[in-house]
Formats: sequence, structure tokens, C-alpha cells
Amino acid sequence: MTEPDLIAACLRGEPRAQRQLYNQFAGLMLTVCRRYLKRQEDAEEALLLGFARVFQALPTFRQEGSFEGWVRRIMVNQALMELRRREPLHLSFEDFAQPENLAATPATADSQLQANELLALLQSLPTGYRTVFNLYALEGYSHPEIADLLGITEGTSKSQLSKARAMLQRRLQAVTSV
Amino acid sequence: MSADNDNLDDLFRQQLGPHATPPGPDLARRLAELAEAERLDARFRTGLGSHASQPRREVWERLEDEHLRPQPQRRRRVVAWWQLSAAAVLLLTLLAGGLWRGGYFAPVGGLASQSAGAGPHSARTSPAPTVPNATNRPGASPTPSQEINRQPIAQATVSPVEKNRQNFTRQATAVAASSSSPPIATTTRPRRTATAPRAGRGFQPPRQLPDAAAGQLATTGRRNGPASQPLVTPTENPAAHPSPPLVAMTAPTEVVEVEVRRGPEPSRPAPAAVAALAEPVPSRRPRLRLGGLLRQADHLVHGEPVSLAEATGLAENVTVQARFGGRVVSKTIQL
Repeated sequence: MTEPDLIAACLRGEPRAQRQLYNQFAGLMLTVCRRYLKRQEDAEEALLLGFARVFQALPTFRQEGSFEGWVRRIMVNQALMELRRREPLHLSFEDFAQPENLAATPATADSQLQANELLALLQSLPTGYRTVFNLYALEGYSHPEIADLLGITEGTSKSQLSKARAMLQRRLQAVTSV
Repeated sequence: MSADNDNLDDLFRQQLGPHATPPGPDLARRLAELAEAERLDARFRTGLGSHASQPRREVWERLEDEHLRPQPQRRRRVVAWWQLSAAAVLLLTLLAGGLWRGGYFAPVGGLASQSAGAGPHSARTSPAPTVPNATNRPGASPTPSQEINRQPIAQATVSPVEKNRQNFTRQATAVAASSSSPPIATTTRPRRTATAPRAGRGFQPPRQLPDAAAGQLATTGRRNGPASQPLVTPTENPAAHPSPPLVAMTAPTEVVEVEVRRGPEPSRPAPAAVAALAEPVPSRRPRLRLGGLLRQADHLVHGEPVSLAEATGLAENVTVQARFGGRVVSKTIQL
């Protein structure tokens, strides 16, 4: 079943199509949610509510862009909503105000790291760092978009991104040097 | 001239073209950071971009149950079922309470008088609605007319004996249906009056009234006091038939006794015992049982048969027995 057929079947409310769409995207989208939320339960809650939103808003999908990108955007928004409920996002921005520089030494051996280890490194970041890094580096949002999405300034977004990268770099070196 | 210009261009091109100016220390550091940042981002992007985490099975089940197919009908059905159960319990309670209270307000010993010579539908009753006000006042001495008004309950003149039998049963059934405390109805020809055993005391509160479940008999020959409440057939109109002419309608016939009691087939008391039981005897009142009610509600929920008698403590059967002459006619009514 092609993607348009699958979407059409879901629009008709066919349970098998809904299950197939869920199976097709649930794993990827759970990883997206886990990048923003530390706890697995919170990530699954965001996944559940995100899929509910996907099926609810499916009639508004115009078949113009990537369907996976559309689903991912919904999941990111849902994860951010869940994050606001679970973790004090703004406090984390204030807690790490000092600028940091990236390590000058490039990490080379960390290319062998598995996805779960990268995910663990990402989840170990403070909430503000993690959120901005996710949005900028992995989702492709610009700093103005991030500032608007999180209610922060562009300077804060850039600062958080820089500090997140520096922290990740150091931790990557620590992991690979062991 | 043009050759000189060409030589100058070649000179700069040859000298500066392959020349690499090394960046300054700050610029070199920034460039290295950008390259490292891009490499770091790409590492996470490629490492996590296609990574799939397996969600637990409960996520889909919750999604299906709570969002895709929430099944509101089942919840409504449950609510409707409980509403129905609550309504049934309330109805049972009201019904039991009404029967209970009705048993106290009904006369303990009623009297149905009948005489030959009139049809069953010519039953006369005393003007009962006006009498209780006069008799309710303690210490009020009743006038003779009031005395007469209080006494008769229901009278019917029947010429054939067969009609008598049918009418007795019908009247007694009406009494039993209107009260859970079955009174005893006794018919006497000379006085054709019905009085309660609390004659002369006026209206008594229901809690002080004796229970009629013991099968007490009230004979009109022993009392002249007022009946606490008339025992009438529902179709009768008391205003159309005042009580004084009833005495004139009396015809010399034999004594007819109608007895209504709880339980299946009662043992007929002796006349002496009947007279002795005419006085009020305190006995156990029918009591609304909470445990029984809850048990019946549970039966209702589980679709099992519900027993009103068990819930209210009332008897399941009421037996009406009529004696006239040497014949006895009895009928058991199941509530």
C-alpha cells in the first residue's frame, strides 16, 4: 500500500491502515520524542498524544511535502509540550549562562558510537541545551524559529547551542577515550 | 604598451594565484569550531536520524482505546445500567415505604357489612372524609350522628348468597391491596357497622397502632366507637350515600365474617378468640430492612428475581376468608 493509499485508508477510519501507519512511524517518532524527553514514559506519552494528533489532523495534510516530515513536526511539537509539563525548561536556560568553547581537538573515534549511546549523551544534557541542539542541529530549525518556539531570544538560542555542542564534544571525548 | 600590461597581469597572477595566506589564530580557531560543530551535528543527525525505538505495546492499545475508538457507547451503557438500577432501588424503597406506612394508617379491624336485598354495586359507605377531623380531636365527645358516621365502613346489599360470596372476596381483595396491614372485616346484619378496636380513643398516631398481621377480628357487636379509617370499596361514593339510611337498609340475615390475614392458609380462630383479639395487641411492626433492600438490589443487578417481601419484611401472601352461615370461602392473594 502506497503512502497516499495508506493516508486515504486512514481517513476512512480503517483500523488496519491506522495500525500500519502507526507501525511505520512509531519507532522513528519515539526516538524523536526520546531526544527531547529523558524518561521513556514521558516520551511514550508524547508519542501517544502525537499520534492522536496525527490521526486527528490527517484531513489537513495536503500531500504536498513529506508525510514523514509532517508527522515528525507534530511529534516535535508534542514533545515540547510534554517537556514544558515535565521539566522546567526556562530554569535550565538560566542555570548555564556562562559561554563555553568547543573543544579544539576533533573527536574521531566516536564515529563508532552506537545510536543508543548518542541518545544517552543527548539526554544527559541540560534541558535547554538539549532542546536547542535538537531543534537546530537535528531538526533544522533556525535560531529565529527556535526563539519563537521556545519563547527565548535568538542570542539565548545561539548561546545554548554553542554550550550544548561544547558539552557534547567533551563527553564524546570522555566516552571514546575510555 | 599592451605587452607591458600583459606582463603585469601575469606577474600578479603567477605570484598571488598559488599563494596561500594562513589565517590568523582567531580565525583559524573559529573555522575549526565550525567544522567541528558541523561534524558533531552530522554525527548525531546520521546516528539518530534513522534510529527507531520500539514503543511498548500499551501505547498502541491506549491510542486505540482512548483516541481512535474510545467506545463511548459502552460507558453510556454502564451509566444507563446503574441509573436503571438506582431507579429500581428507589422505586422499591418508595413502594415498600408506601406499603409500610399504609399498613399503619389502615384500620386494624375493619368491617364490611352486607345484607340481602340489594345489588353489589349499591354499597353504601359512611361519609368518611369528614369524620376523621371530628374524631381526631382528643376528648371530643362525638354526637350521635358522628357516632353513626364513624361506624360503618363499607356496606353492600346482596340478595343471593352466591353474590354474597363473590362480593366478599372482591371487597376483601380491595382492602388487602390498599394496605399491607390486613385488617379483619366482619359483617353483622343488625348493626352493619365497622369499628376499629380503638373505639372511643379518637385518632391514634400510626406508631401506636397495633399490627393487624396477627389476624385480629373486629366484631361490630362489641363496639360503638369510631373507626379510625373507613374500609371502602374504591368505586363507592361516600357523599352520595350518607350513613344514616344504612341502618334502615339492614335486613335480617345471618352473620357473615370476612377475615383477612397475612400468610397462606390461616387457621380459623374460634369465635371467643376472635372477640379477645379485638383489643389492640402490640406486636412487631413490619420493618423496612436495609440488608434486604441491598440484597434485592444485588439480585436486580445480577438479573435474579427480586422479592419485595424479603426487602420490606412484609408477608408474601394475604389470605382472605369469608364465613357466612356454615360455609367458608377463602382466597390467598400473592403480593
